[in-house]
Amino acid sequence: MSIPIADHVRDIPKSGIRDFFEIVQSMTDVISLGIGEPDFVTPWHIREAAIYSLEKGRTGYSSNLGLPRLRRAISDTVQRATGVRYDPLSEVLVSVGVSEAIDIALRAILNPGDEVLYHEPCYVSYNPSVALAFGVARAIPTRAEDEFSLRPEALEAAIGPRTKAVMLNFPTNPTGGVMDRAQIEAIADVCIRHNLTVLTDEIYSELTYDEREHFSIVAVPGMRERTIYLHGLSKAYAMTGFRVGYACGPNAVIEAMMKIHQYSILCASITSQDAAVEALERGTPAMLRMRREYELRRNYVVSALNDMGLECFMPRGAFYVFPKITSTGLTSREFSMRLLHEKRVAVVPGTAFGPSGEGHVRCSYATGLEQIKTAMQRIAEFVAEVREERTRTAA
Amino acid sequence: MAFERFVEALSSSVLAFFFAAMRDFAVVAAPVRIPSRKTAAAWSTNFSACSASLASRPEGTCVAFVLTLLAAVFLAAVVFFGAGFAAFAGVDFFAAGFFFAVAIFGTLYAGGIGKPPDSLGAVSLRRLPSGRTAAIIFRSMDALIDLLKHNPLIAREDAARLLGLTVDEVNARIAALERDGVIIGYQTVINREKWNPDTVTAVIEVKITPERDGGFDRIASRISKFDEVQSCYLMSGGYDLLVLVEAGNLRQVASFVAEKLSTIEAVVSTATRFRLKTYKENGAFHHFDVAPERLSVSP
Repeated sequence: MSIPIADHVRDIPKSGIRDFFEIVQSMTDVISLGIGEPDFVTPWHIREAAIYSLEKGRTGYSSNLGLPRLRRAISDTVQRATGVRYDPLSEVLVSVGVSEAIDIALRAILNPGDEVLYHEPCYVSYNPSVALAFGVARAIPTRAEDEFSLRPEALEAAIGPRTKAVMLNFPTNPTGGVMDRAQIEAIADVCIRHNLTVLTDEIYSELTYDEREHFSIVAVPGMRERTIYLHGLSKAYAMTGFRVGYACGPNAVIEAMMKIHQYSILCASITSQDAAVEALERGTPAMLRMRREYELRRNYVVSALNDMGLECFMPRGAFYVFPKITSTGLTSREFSMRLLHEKRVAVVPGTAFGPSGEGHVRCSYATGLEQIKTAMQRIAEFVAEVREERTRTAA
Repeated sequence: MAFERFVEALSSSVLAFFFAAMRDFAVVAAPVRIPSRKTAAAWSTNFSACSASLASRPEGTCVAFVLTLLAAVFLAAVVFFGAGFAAFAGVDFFAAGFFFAVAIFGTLYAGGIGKPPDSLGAVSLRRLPSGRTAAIIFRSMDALIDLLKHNPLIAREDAARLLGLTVDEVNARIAALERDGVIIGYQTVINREKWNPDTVTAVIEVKITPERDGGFDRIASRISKFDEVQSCYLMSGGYDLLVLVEAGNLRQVASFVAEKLSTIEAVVSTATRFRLKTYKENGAFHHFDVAPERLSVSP
């Protein structure tokens, strides 16, 4: 007899990125533009703080909510970024990466059958996280011509009687799309009118370019009480492996999330929390250096892709570009597979981020410039070959 | 009387507005009113020099500060002389100053100072949203210097793509930086253990008596001229000059110190220390850690 698997878990499809990863893993000399994490090692002073923490023998549990000093640093950071103040003692929770924060936030607010809206293409965990919390996930497709921002009309049209919450992620993985202040205010207006809770995943909020500051929905008047602000240190401080994220929100919801967190996770690793304190208190210069590097590479990649005829808007955030590949006549998956096998360059098919990602691939520029250069050359060759092939078969 | 007070209040508030406007104008328009290629280059040099010396300050702040100061001094002078003239003619002090300022400012503006020319020689302003010109030029100059510091051999085409400029623009900027002495050289960092491992490097702490006329500079430049001297810095603290010396062997260093350095009249004392091993030089590590592994594809 085999162990029976719960229905709602069995029904979750296998991640599109996971099987692609397994193929790439089996090959050698692949240049990967498929990596969703910074290529920088965590800045040394942050690593050093983690080492010092271990040296001092800080190896126990922390408070369920996280180290008070870290929560104060988080509260200050969020206030600087958004103008909104959260009480460090009762309105901030330190989680194991933003992924955990998303999971426990959904589990804390959803009754079975409640609907959650999210914009698509989006990060791979949103849909399954909702399903695992017994909710119903509904995607709102966004379009390349809007630079993948969420239109308020589209949001409003998707709202049904059981819609409880909206998940936002700007700057967006995989598109690099951002929303400016006026657009965010329009979305906030819809949420207030329909009494929706907002989960905003701000993991890329420091990584915005062209000197534009990110504007968070929580900063809109009337939104603080209905928003769960989710953020972490993985992307801005190149700390993905430390697994530190956090949630800020009204006390009642943080209390509810804490119930789940304390029984399932207990607390985030104390070494990582000590490193996170260092990052938030003194990590800004290093973060800005990395951000500038990303910005230069973005310019390079976007210009190279457009030169080879893969249409691509200039993304203003995150470290991804999401070029349109329909001009090659291939689907996202065909494009990615053939590029991988013929030219040994890995990009992620847009469909891994939801069906509305069809016709696009995600290229991450969180990779060294030399590799980006070679990858761009190889992609250009590939595109030229595919085009030639098409004209030959047409003739 | 009431009317005079009204005029006075009005003119001083308008003046305050003008100071603010002048500040913004200075930041936004300063690099725009560059008439020729030569001054454009000079401007860009100032920008980068500013950034180098005030790197810790937010970008652009120093430029804004200096220009605001100039604007303020200029306006103050105008008000002062205007007021003198006005007092002579028996007109209200502030009101006259204000009108005088407006007149001069207006003349200058109408004279074309504020008009952006089509081309700025080394500095291109195409595609840039108005009002953020200064900040963006400043930033890309900074970014260009960073790129070159990290890798002077970077292909100009790559630099252009990275910075969102054309190759010609990048070439022009680098040429300007070289011409104006912002960039004074490009060097190769060599791992001494792999190439000429017998070469000796010493750091020498030198105490000197400053001269009545030249201070430390003349002695320092004399010392710097010796071929053995790689670097020479004026230091704060217990000694005056830090001299980095490179030579083929120990004896050459010793004879340099004994025969050349110590015999300079102003040199009071020297303390020589030899390098044993190099770990990091000019930002480059001499021993490489293996790059940490990353997943090849991740969400």
